[in-house]
This record gives sequence, structure tokens and C-alpha cells, in this order.
Amino acid sequence: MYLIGNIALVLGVVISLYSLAANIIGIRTGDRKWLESARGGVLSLVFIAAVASFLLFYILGTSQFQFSYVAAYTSQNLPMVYKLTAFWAGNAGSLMLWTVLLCIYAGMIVFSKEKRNPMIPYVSSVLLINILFFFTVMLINGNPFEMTDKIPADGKGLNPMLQNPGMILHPVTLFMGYVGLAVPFAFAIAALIMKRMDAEWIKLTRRWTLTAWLFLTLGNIIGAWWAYVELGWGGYWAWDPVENASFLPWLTVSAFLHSVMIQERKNMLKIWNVSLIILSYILTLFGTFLVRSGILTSVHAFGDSNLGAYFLIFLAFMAMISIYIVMTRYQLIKKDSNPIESYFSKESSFLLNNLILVVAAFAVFWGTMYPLISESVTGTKVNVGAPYFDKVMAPIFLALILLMAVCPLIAWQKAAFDKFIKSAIVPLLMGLATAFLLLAAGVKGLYAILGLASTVFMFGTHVMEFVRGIHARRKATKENVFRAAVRLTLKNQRRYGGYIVHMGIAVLTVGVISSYAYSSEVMKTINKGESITIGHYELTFNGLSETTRNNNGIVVADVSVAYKGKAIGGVKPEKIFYETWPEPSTEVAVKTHWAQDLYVVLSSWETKDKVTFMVKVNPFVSWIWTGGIIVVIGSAFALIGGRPAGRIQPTSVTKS
Amino acid sequence: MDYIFLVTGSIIIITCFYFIISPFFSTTVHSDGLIEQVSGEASSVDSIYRSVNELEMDFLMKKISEADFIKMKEHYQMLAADFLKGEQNPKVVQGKTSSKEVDMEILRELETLRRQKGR
Amino acid sequence: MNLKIILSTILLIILIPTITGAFTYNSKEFQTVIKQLDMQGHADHEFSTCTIQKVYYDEVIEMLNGGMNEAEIIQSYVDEYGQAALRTPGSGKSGIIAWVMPGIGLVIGVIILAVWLKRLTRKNQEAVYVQPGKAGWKNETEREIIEKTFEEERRKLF
Repeated sequence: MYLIGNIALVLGVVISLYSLAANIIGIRTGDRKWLESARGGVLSLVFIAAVASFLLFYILGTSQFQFSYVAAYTSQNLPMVYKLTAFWAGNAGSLMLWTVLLCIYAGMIVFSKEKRNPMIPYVSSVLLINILFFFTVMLINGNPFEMTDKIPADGKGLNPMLQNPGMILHPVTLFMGYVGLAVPFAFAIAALIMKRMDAEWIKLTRRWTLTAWLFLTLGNIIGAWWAYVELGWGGYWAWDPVENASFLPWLTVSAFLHSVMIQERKNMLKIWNVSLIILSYILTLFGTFLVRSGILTSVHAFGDSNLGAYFLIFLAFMAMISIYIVMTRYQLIKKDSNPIESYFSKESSFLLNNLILVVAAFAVFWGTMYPLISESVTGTKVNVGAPYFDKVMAPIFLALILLMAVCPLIAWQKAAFDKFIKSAIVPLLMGLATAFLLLAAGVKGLYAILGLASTVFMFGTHVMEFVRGIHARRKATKENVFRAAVRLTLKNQRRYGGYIVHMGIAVLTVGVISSYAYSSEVMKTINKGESITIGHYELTFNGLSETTRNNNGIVVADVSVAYKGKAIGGVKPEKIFYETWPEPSTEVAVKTHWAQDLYVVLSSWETKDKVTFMVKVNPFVSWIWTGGIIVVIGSAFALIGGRPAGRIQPTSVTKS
Repeated sequence: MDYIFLVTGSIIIITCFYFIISPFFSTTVHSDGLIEQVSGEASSVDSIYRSVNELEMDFLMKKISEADFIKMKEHYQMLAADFLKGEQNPKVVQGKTSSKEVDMEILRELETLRRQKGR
Repeated sequence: MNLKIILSTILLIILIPTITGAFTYNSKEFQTVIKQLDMQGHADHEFSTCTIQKVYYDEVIEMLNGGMNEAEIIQSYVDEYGQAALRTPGSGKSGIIAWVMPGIGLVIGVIILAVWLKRLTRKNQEAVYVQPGKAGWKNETEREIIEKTFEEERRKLF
């Protein structure tokens, strides 16, 4: 099996090199057979990557400890699902995951219905460079099929923190997002090389980009959920360098998804869009570099390896190539764009949106890198932790929410300002009413109230958009309400999918703001029979017990919970003592209510009858997950249907 | 046991080799080369209709002023008329060229409109 | 006897602050302090499994009970470890740069956007007027016919 695994890796390098060469020869000579052969090469790569992944799954599932990867990340008594998901627990395996996804994506492209498009050989070449890089790195520095010197009796086991359903999905979804961005990047580079700067590449990759964004969103939200239920510090987002690293491409792709609409309609922003997608792609590499290099301390750090250096070199290489290509095509791209007709139009509001998202990305990047910058420039170490990001990002996000609130009301080309004001009044009043109600209810915190009111304003605008849209459609077509609603959304899936995403963001934002501003925490040592009161909750400690599960010792506290004096059942926070891990791990007990989460951590105990608990009440946390689901539904909705932007614009003649 | 792995390894190599080599010996001739595929967009006249529909929705949803709506709609109507005339006329080449012309047309029309408005 | 009295007095002195004004992990003052401390990168760890956090927590409680106020405690950590003791950059030169840079980024972005928007609209006004298209209505009837078909056709796509 060692043999097969290594054959696969070597073949991966050889075939990707060959296919790259075949593509270049094919492009140069115009000989179709070479291009076909390169396509065969891509097919082989899919095959090889699949074989290698299957093999890795197999050796993990059957606990073949002669492989050091298996020995390092699994153990005999690890549940099967975690044995298998240890695939992406370590460096070598996650490189494998990345590679297999990249190969599959490349295969999907070269065998898609666009396979005859002259762009495809270029696209495939760019992807092949990526594949080549990953196979090479695996072979040199992260071989998942490396053997141990001495076969250990049992493996080291999986880090308990990774033994959580969130960890089954979080890396996969995030990687699908990361890898997905390589596709629009490849198309952008292909379009640049071929000097086809119309919106074709954007139309061809719209679904890829949206899918990548969808997975990035999903990956981040699942990651947040995992942190919340598994890490036990009571939050879900710590502005950790690696979280930031996955957030950065999300921000730039969000900007890209909006600005491409302008290029589709008006043939402008060409350089900007190309730059954004290049930046997003580079940022995915940058994120990986951060995780692998360990130059910044982070809970995600994969620890000792010099993989980071490889990623840095590759990043620099790809960045330089991209910049070179953009520079050489600069004059070409600059031509042929159409002017914006009015300052007050959707076009300019999208530009503003791009500005805010990019500034947000810059701020996150700056904060993440500043400790390094400061230390290397001034020599003084400075931390840039969560409080910094909270302070800096809050106004930026507030601006974004406000922009989202007004954007849908503004028409393309030339919007009417007086009408806009009239349309905005109802949602604005909803927002103001929220603020008033919150103040009247004695809620403190001006910024949070401002944020919540703006969010309601934004949500209101979107609801009104639906209502007005249905109303307008009925006026125009005389359809009944139901039919009008259905046809309205189905005819404009892209737009209304986007609106659903926005509404999801609104729901999520309510959760984020409330849980940041209004969570309460109590840490208390109590005896058996005593209670802790927090908010409307009263928790009574009934006793501590010990059990074993999967050979792991578990200490469980039995706590009964009353809400506003009424018993609502119990929670059982745990401490698990893993056989294979030195430190115990915390299993948080969360009792979810639509308006708040009761979050109980068994902190420590002196005797069986005297225990310390950390209890938090986090308002509206479930809204974050709900909002995330709505966002996913909305983007899926936009994904499955939806034409490229419809209205013809006064476009000048484009070169194609 | 080792034999199995050797054989499997060889099969993998041979399969890949086959994928790569087969195009060179393939009997089907691809004389067509790379084909430009026009993405499955509806014809330009349909997009004109859609554009006006979108405009009407914008107008009914009170995003653009009535004057602007009527002007733009009239302009699109002329465009559609031009286009339909063009369709009846076999001399006009369909596809890219005509859409280019339409684009030019729209540009001209819009400029006219703008001039009329005195901007 | 004397020794006993002294001992119990000492004990009382030690206990009094803990009994009367004792600070706990739940005290507001404690929370304000602890939320600012980086605790050598352990700030976001889970308390019960993090030994470093425990040391800091106890130290802060001790200092609070010892009569120091929040600012003094923070200052004592900064004196000891430098700005790196805290989770955010301070007000020194290096700290200011950290805080101000996103703002500078925003300002630069706004300027670029403004210049760009302005340029685009000016371009618009300077645009060369092209001759009107060939589509003029020949007569009212044609206009009406076309208008009618136009409306009918586009309704189908609505």
C-alpha cells in the first residue's frame, strides 16, 4: 500500500507536468490531439487523486499504524467516523484533501459542456500548476503515506477538540470554498492571457464563484459553531489569525459577487474584478500559509512543519505571475467601459459596497499582520486581539448593514431620489421603532441598539422589496398574490436569492450583536443542592458522577434548570479524560432557547459534592446559526437558477 | 500480498498512460478545432423585452421616475423595432455582429436622449 | 495569649477584605481587567483547562483585594511585560499606527472612489454625441403596430 500511495503521488507530479506541457504544445501548435491528451492527463489526475484518497481513508479506517500519519492522528478505540475524518486532521491529509478537490474541479471543467471553449486549455493549465504544486509539496514535505520506523501498538489519537461533528464538516466545506476560488482565478488569468476582457469569464464562473462563496460561508459558520460548543470559552469567533485568514477571502469574494454585476451590465470595473478574484485566490493561499507556518500563534496552528515556506513561495510566484499578466494587459482592459449615468444609482451603491468590504478586508488583514509588522519594524511586541477587531470592525459592519438597508431601493442606471426617500421611510421607521422599544425596555448600550435598529431597518427594506415587488407584478400582470410571489422570485432568482442572503445576514447580525453586547457570565463554586442564579435561570447542582465511554473517563455534573421559576429540565456538562490525550477536554452543555442560550461548563471540582461551574447566558446565539442556514438557502437559490444580469445597457462595441 | 500491490500499481500507471496516449491514436478526427460557444443567452430582442420588463418593475416599485421610465421604454421600443426590421431583412448577419450593432444603436439612442434632456 | 490575639488579628485582617469587599471572578472590576489581558496568548482558552489563565485570574483577584484599582493593575502588567501584556495595542507610537491604519485605508478608499466616480461622470458629459439611429417612426400607424407587438411580446416574458 505504501507502494500504491507513493506511485500515486509521483504520478501526480509527473502527469501534471506532462499535461501542462501538452496544453502548452497544444495551444502553441493548435494541435487538438495534444489538448485532448492534456485532458486525458487531467482525467488521470482525478483518477490518481481518487485512488490516493481512497487509500488514505482505507489505512485510516483500518488503523494501519505502520503509516506515521495514521499513528499520529488516530488510535484503536477512536470512533470510526473520526478515524476517517482524521483524513484532514493533519498537514499531509489536508494537502491530500485540497489536491483531490482541485483535481475533481479541474476534471469538471475540462469535461464540462464548455470544453470546446478556447479558454479551457489555459484554465486547465492554471489549475494544473496548482495541482502540480500540491502533489510536489506532498511528495517532499507532507507525504500521508510515510511509514513509521517502528510500528506502534496504538496511535497517538485524535485531538479531543477535533472529535466533534463540526470538525467533520468545517475543514471540508472551507477547503471546497478555497479550492473553488482557484476556478474563477484560473478563468480570469485565461481571459487575461487571451485578451478577452468581456464578461464571458465572469458568466462562465458565476456558479463556481457563488459555490465557493457558499462553502466559505458554510465553513466559517460551522467553524464558529464548533468553537462555540467545543472550545468552552463561551464565544464563537475570536478573531484568531486563522479565522481571519478564512474571513479575508470571504470578504473579497463578497465584494466580487457584487461588482461583477456591474461588469456584466456595463462592461466596466474589468481591472477591478480581475484584481479582486486574484486577491481572493491569493488570500486563500495566504490563509493556508498562516495555518501551516505557525508564524502567528493560533488555536488552529498545525505546529511544526516548514510547509508554510512552500506556500509562501507559491503565493509569491502566483502573485507575481498575476500581476505581470494584469500589467501587460492593462491598456487593453482599460478600454471599452461605459460610464455610470448617475451618482445615485445601483452602480455607485455597489461601488460603495465594494469599498466597505475591501476596507473591512484590509482592516482584518492589518490587525492580523500587525503583531508581525510591529515586531519586525519597531522590535516591540504588540498584541492585536479580539477587542481590537471588535472596536475596528463594528463601525465598518454598521456601515455595511446601513448600505444593505438602502441598496435594494436604488434602481440601476438612474434612480429617483425622492421616490427612494418615500420607499425608505417605512423600513426606517421600523428601525427607529426598534431603537425606541429597546430604550423603553431599559436596554443599555447605545452602539448595540444602533446596530440592532440598523439591522431591523435592513431587514425591513428587504421585506418591503418582496412586498412591493409582488404588488408591482400584480399591477403589471394581474396575477393573484401567490402566483405573483412565486413568479417574481423565480424570474429573478439571482436577485431574490441575494435578498434572502441579506435577510440571513440580518438574522445573523442580530445574534452577533446581542451575544456580544448582552451576554452575562457567572463563575461559582457550589455544594450539592445549592443553586446559581443567572438572568432568569436558576441552576441547581444535583451531583457528580463518573462513567466511561469509548474507554474515555467522563465526569458528568447533573444540573437541573429552572427558567423564571419553572423547571425546564436539566443539563449535563462534562469533562472527558481521553485515554490518548494528557489534558481533559470540556464538553459544554448548551440549552438553546430562541431568545438565549444557557451555556454551562463544568469548570472544576474539589469533591464530589463541591463543584465550580462557569455559566453564561448568551442572548440570540441560535439566530446566528439560523441566519447562517438562511444565507446558505439564499445562495443555493441564486445558484440553481438565475440568468446573467438581464438589462441591456448602452454598451459600446466590445472586443471579443 | 506484495504482488497484489505491484499489480494494482501497474494497473494504475497503465490506466493513466492510456488516458494520456489514447487521443493520439483516436480515429475520430477533430477538424473543427476549438469552437466558440455562445453562452445560452436568449436573443437580443428577448433581452430588450426583459430590460423593459425590469424597467417597468423598477418603475412600479417606485425606484425610477415616470418620465425616465417612459423615455427609456420608448427608446427600447425603437430598438426592438430596429431589431425586428433587421430580422426581416436577411442581409443583416445574426449573432455577434448584430448584437454589436444593437449595442451601438443603444449607445446612439441614449446619447440622443441625453441630448434631448439637455444634459 | 498575646500570640493568639496577634494571630487572630492578623487572620481577621486577612479575612476582612475577603469577607466584606472581596472580589470574585464575577466582580465587574475583575472582568474589566481580565478582558484586557492577553495572558500570554491564552486569553481565549477555556478557563478550566488552562493553567496560565488560572495564574492570571488569581493574581488579578489578589491585586484587587490588595486594594489596587483596575488601571493600576493593568499598568502593573504593562510595566512588567510591555504592551504585549494586553490584548490591544496601546497609545504608544506603534499602537497608534495599529489603530489608525484602518481609518487611513478607508480615507484612501473613499478618495479613490470619489475621484473615480467623478471621472466616470465627467467622461459621460464629454461623450461625443452620436447621430440618432435609423429607427425613426415612419408614421403613426407603424408606431402603434410596433408598440402593440412590443407590449404583447414582452408580456410573454414578464
